[in-house]
Amino acid sequence: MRPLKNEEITVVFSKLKHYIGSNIKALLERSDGLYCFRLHNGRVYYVKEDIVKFASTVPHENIISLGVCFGKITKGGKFLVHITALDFLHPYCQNKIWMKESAEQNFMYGNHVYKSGLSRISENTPKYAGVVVYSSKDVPLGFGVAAKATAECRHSDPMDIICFHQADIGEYIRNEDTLT
Amino acid sequence: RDEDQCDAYLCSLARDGIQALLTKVWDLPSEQIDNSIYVTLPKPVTKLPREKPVPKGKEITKWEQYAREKGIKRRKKGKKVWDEVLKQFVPRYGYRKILAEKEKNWVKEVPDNADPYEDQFAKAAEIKKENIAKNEYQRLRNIAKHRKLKVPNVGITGNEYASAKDLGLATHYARHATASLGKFQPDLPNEKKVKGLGKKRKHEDTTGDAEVEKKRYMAVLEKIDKPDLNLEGAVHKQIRDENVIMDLERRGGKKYGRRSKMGGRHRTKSDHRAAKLGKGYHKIKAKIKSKAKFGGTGKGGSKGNFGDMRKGAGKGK
Repeated sequence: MRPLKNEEITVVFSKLKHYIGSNIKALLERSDGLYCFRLHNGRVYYVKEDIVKFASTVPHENIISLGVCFGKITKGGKFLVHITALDFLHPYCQNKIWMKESAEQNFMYGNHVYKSGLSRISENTPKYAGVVVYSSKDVPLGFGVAAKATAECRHSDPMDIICFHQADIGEYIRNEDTLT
Repeated sequence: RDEDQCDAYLCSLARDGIQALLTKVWDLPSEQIDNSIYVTLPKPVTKLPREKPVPKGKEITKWEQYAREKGIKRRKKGKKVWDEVLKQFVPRYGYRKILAEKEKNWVKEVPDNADPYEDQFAKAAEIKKENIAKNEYQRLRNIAKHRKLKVPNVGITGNEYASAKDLGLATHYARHATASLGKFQPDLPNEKKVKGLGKKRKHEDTTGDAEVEKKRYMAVLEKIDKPDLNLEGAVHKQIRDENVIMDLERRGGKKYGRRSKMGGRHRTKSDHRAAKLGKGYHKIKAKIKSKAKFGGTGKGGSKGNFGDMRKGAGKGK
């Protein structure tokens, strides 16, 4: 377990910027204490500072997880956001997609979002922006990348993909073993 | 010689030969079958010539030669040694010897003349390592001496154990054995960087100052938010350079001869820039000319695109 180096933080923040834009500051400046990022077994964890101090007393072979796992940094240096970050990121997210009830299940099985399943999309979503996918009842379902900008979505076919699937809450069951 | 004497000699020789052969035959084990005596002849043996040359004897090491001169004989050592401290027989070598030593040396006294903060265990381990290395070096030196190879005194000796790791180590040492410690050493054509050597960079503490860490994060954030290319600045610079060139051309291309009318000093801003551009004057001129070539309004067009950025749009040719 160690703090992230500057190169790693750059990668993480750049990725998070896709989803929450300039609200990364809100992650760092919180009223209920100092939060920080820690790297353990290649995974990036968002933890409160006090908990980090407790965790440093545990032998590092025995630590499975601490705080919230935001994602992992791959061997090639890229940062992949995991579904476990959803609760922390969805309030700050700027670009949102709402799905119809009929298509919710499909997304939660890991498929992309088609125009036919789209209910609403936030205004001025640029193409290839990071989005959070919501159900029609405003329950966050997962992350995605917008395949089309808002304006393009209006004119697209029902079978066009409008959002690439990145992570969904179905992964809590599917990838139970690998999520930390 | 006489022919008769030759004949007699040859006859006697032949008789002796056959006699010898027959005695040998009678010496062999014989058996009687059906009233006849049979002799079992020995199996035929085909002696092939040597395929490989005769092996050379074992080479004498430096110590063996010395021992021979001094008359030192080898003594057979027992496998176990009596240890006074542990009061038992401990193997002379191997895993159990190390264990026994660990038990004996659970504490080490710091000698009077030594630094109190020195790690005595580490020191002992270092000495042992060096002994092993020295032994290995001497062994390889013996081999080299026998094969008549040259062995350097320092650095990596020979390529007997050249795994990729060892070769990497050798290149690392070779690279860094310069006055600038390898900083300005150019790379060889296919040279790969060796991992894990050189100065080890320390990671930050896990439970360091959180405030400091937060500042670091903010700094990184600012860097990310900063745009990479300063497009406006680059455009402004290009336009400014073009203006300076045009001023120069208006004046006839001369930048004031040696005896300047203006007292030898660059008075105007464009003179300063011209002096700066001195070397690049022709390059920029070529650029402007090439821009004019590719499309009638090449020059005007490029200016027109950024017209909203520039203040004096009417300036120029």
